[in-house]
Amino acid sequence: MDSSHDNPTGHDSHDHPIDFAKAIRTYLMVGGALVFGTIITVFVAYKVDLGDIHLNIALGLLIATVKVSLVALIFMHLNHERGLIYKTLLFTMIFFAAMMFLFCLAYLDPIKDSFFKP
Amino acid sequence: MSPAMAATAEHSHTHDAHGHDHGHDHHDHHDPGFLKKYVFSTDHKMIGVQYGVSGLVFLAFGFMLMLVMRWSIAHPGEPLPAGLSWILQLFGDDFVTRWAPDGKVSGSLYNMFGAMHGTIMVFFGVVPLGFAAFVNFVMPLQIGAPDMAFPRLNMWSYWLFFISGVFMMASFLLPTGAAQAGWTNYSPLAAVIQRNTDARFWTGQTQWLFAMVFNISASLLGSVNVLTTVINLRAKGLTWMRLPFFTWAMFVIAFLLLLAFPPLEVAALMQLSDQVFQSSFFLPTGLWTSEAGILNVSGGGHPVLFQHLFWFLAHPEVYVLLLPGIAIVAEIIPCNTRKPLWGYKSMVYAVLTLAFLSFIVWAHHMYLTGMGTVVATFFQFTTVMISVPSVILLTCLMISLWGGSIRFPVPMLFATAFLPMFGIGGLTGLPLAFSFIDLYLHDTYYVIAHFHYIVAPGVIFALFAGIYHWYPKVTGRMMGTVLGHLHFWPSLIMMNVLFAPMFIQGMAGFHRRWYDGGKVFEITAHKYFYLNEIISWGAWGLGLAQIPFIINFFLSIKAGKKVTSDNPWNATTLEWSAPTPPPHGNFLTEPVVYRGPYEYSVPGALKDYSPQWEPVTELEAAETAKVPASH
Amino acid sequence: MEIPYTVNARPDTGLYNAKVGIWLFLASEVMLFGGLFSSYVFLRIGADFPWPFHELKVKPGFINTLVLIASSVSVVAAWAAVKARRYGWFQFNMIFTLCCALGFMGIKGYEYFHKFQHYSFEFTDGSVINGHPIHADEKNHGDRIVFGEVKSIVIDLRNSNLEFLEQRREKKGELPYAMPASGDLKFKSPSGKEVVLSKGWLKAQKRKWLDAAGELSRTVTAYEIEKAANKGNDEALAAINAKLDEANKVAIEKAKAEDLTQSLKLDVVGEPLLFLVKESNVAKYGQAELSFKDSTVLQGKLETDAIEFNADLIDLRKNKDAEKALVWKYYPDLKDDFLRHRDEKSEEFKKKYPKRAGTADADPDNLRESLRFEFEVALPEEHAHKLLHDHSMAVSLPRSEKRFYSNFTPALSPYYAIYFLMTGLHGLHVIGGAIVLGWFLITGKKMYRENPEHLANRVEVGGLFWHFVDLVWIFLFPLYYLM
Ligand code: HEM
Ligand SMILES: [Cu+2]
Repeated sequence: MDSSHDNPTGHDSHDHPIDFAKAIRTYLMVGGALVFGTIITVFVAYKVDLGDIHLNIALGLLIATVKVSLVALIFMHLNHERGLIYKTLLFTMIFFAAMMFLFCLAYLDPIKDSFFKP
Repeated sequence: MSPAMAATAEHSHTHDAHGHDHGHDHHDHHDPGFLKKYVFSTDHKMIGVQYGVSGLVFLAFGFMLMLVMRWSIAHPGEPLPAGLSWILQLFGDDFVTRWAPDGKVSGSLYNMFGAMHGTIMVFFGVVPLGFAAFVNFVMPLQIGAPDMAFPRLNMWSYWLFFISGVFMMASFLLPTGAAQAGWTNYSPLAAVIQRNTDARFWTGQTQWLFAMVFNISASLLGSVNVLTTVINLRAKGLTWMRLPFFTWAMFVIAFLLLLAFPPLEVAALMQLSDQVFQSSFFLPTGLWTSEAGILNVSGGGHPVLFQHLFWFLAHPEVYVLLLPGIAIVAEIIPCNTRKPLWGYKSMVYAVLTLAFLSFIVWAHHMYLTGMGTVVATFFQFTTVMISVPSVILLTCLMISLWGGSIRFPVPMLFATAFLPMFGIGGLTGLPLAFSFIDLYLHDTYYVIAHFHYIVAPGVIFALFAGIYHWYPKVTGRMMGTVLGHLHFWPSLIMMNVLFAPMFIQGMAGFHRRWYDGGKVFEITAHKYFYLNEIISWGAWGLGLAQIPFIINFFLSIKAGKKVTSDNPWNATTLEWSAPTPPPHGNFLTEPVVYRGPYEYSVPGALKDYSPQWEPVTELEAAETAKVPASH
Repeated sequence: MEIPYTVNARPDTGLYNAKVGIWLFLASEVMLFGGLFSSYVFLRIGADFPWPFHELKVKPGFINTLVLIASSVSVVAAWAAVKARRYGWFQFNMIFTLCCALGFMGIKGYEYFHKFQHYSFEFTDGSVINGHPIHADEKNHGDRIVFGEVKSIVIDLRNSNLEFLEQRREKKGELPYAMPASGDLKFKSPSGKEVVLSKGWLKAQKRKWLDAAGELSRTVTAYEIEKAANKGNDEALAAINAKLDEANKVAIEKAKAEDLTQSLKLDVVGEPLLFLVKESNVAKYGQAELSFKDSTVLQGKLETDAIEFNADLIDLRKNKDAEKALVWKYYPDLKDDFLRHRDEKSEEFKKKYPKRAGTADADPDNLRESLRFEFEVALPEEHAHKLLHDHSMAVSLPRSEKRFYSNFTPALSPYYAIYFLMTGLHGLHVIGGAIVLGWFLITGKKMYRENPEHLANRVEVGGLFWHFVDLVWIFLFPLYYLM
């Protein structure tokens, strides 16, 4: 059934042209940005005074999120992907967010009746 | 006329003609050999049959465990009669010596059977049969695919499931016995119940988790496969809104499994760590048991975390149990009313909404964990919301009956019975959605009745309907009608004898885990003791009612009436266009789809059904050719 | 039969099968790690103990992050190389990726190994000391329970497994000097027979006991059924009961004569025995009896249950009152040093982070700096050396003052439990990914010749998984090492 695949000998077939040198340059640059991000994360955790340690934690996670976005967008090609994959990931992220949020909410909202206080 | 039309138009060949003529030149040219064909098969149909047979065996086994429990409830302290004690003998003499030395059902034995009954029925019976078996056999045929997208993964999925079944069953034979903390396996009970042993890995509780890790992996492989197949292997012309509802429902189930199971895997791994590495994920500080005093663990963990992770899966899981039933019934009803499915589109949107909502209702199982009003309100709201799509589904199915010239072959009997049974189960769920009622009804027989009305007389009836309906496609022979009636009517009656009184007992406060049927609460409970016996009579009767089915199932393989056409029910969906039984690779020519799935009794058409694969007009043929979904 | 779209994309979805498959799989992986991250947050906000903060050594985690980043670059470069039909580059990048995987797991293993070697002892009042027990060898009992003068052992035929015998020691002079013991053990059974305790004997005895018990249970069941049938008929019931009693009596006598009772008390023939018992094997113990988890019971005398411990750190974050902590009973001369160190560090913290000074009392950074007293850092070198390396400075910690004692494994606290679970699961993903990528490398040449696009697809799919593994680590690193 699958009779239409590319030139089976392959070597000189370039019907999916890719500028190898340029691609490598992009990947190396992203890699460099990730290394830089890692250093910043460590720096933020030890050397920056934002007034509350929780802000440091939030900032650290923010940087991690930026790094993760770089990996996802460029290395995993999510900057140009098909709609179906975006949809799947969108719902997955919604369910993940709901899980994290509702777990915490349930923990932070116990019965407050004084009757139940120890 | 397009070439595809010519190839697919004529479908009145007999089974023999296909099996030999075409089957031959379509098969791979070497004979695959017994092992590859029947055991380590990568053919979706064989895997479907494997799942189906395993599922049926597990259902029968889980049913037997229940019979022992019902005896204990109705006749506490009396030894099992010969008619039931053979069930214990199945496990071997040592098991009997360990657990029932005087032939009576002890509390631990009851707990073991109770936990394993739930586990086996849900994870090893209904899901493998309802989802895995039906989706594997029917779905690729229904979408015109030669096989699943990843046949080898499909085989792995079955064998991982098989391994998990072996571990689960073998755990009965361990010195500790099998798991005893309910199918929900809540910590800390689950973590402390078999703690006092050196062989921390070889306990029933640990093996339960270990087996579940395999089971979950199997279902993940399976669901990836199903989703990819539906997304990428639909036949030419089979657009999303032309998919039979069956395939839609299966697609949605696969998504539920894919996204809801991983958190249970997390819970299983954490509890496994608590068991084997003595960690305290789910063990609070200062946990005390009468056996060991203050437990020698670090503490600092949270029992409620387990419940969150568990129900994050297990609520979607109840829809995984239910939707195969709806899927099957949605195929059988139009076929036997000779009418289109009423509200196909709203059913599709309903099932999608249902799936979405099912991820955010889970804590309605946890109202009793001391949650505050904000969270309780949220979950009450979503729970009530989710009944809307459920009602839409049921209503559409009922309206589909309206004004049809209904015929009642055996599958249709079961499918029709599904509707009111599911209705009772669903409606009795609504009161439970409200926390102030649930605080009273939680963990009573009311809850047991609620979900059993959905899964037993509901879903299991639908599964029987599916078996009777597709049996001719699998084997080329029909199942017997007389035996079918002998199966259906007693089952219907007994199911209700069995489950209806449970509502009464539940409202009277009967707790769901009393192994002696409430004997120690005699002063308050005695008024409803007589129901214990009635319910148990229902159980024995239901067991006997399955005998005609078993006979029918095996007898018809060799002695059933041969089908004379590939489409014995005159149905419209693609699986009926394939040869009977379908060869490896399924279709003789590439199928093309020209219309929606339920075009019965189309005005002006020559027959009362217009199959998806037959173009009627030039225009239709031309339009379909434009759809890009092809090679 | 051939499955469509294994190589080329389906026109309307724009995707080939494996790519749909891997993304769906990754979606489920998101939920898997999502469940773990959610649990992490839940455990952390609900912790009733000081959540370890800045406690893991940053360097190995940092290096591992770089290693994974490098491998992510190389794996996507390998894909680009196949796309550009440069097989040599593909091979180079794949090999580089695999080396990164190896390096990552090596560093991980090193970290784990060091944790397992390290122990923590928490007193009943919440004071914690970290360090390690003196090795349990012939000169010392370390963290074992010493149970001596054992004159009889009660075996449970249903559960006992005899593994405890490995913990027997030969007494040599005064405690805690003991040697691994050898030689057969002779016992006298309740019926007066002489028994040599061995696995073979136990297995045979178990079999005989189960058979006898089975026979009795069948007899009893038969009578019970008879009784149920005669419900209400008192006369018949009395007769049946009499027969049942008789059968029971006969069975019990037979069992006694052949040592077939579930619990069998075996008396030691000759010298009493000595055991150095691991606490993890013990269900409970008192002055005269020690029960193992397999239900075997030793009857003798508890000699000592103290833990010989060499500390390297004192941690009082969980104490209400540092001055009255139990630990000072064992390290009286360190108390002043500790308090001085605490005040110094608090001051230092306020200077270093002026904006955070207001919340210093609850700041995990401050608490860690001021209430964790690491000998190596906080004490003069000579003093520290003495404490850390001279076993004569070790203390003997009675178990009666212990709340919890463990090495740095998942058992130590929910923090370490989830640390090991998440990093361990992540490590398994690294191994799995490396195996798959290695497979593509080995079989790549053939596929490249036949159909290079197919290989490109495979590498793309494998790479997607690999990036996901990297992506998880990018969150794990700050979450565990930095916050
Ligand atoms: C129609 C909407 C439904 C509503 C509002 C609903 C509501 C509930 C609630 C609130 C509970 C918790 C009761 C308690 O433990 O106290 C419950 C239990 C349960 N429901 Fe439903 N339900 C619905 C449909 C279903 C369906 C379709 C199934 C499919 C099989 C199902 C299966 C179950 C099961 C298995 C349990 C008990 C789990 C256990 O505790 O062991 N329910 N239901
Ligand atoms: Cu639910």
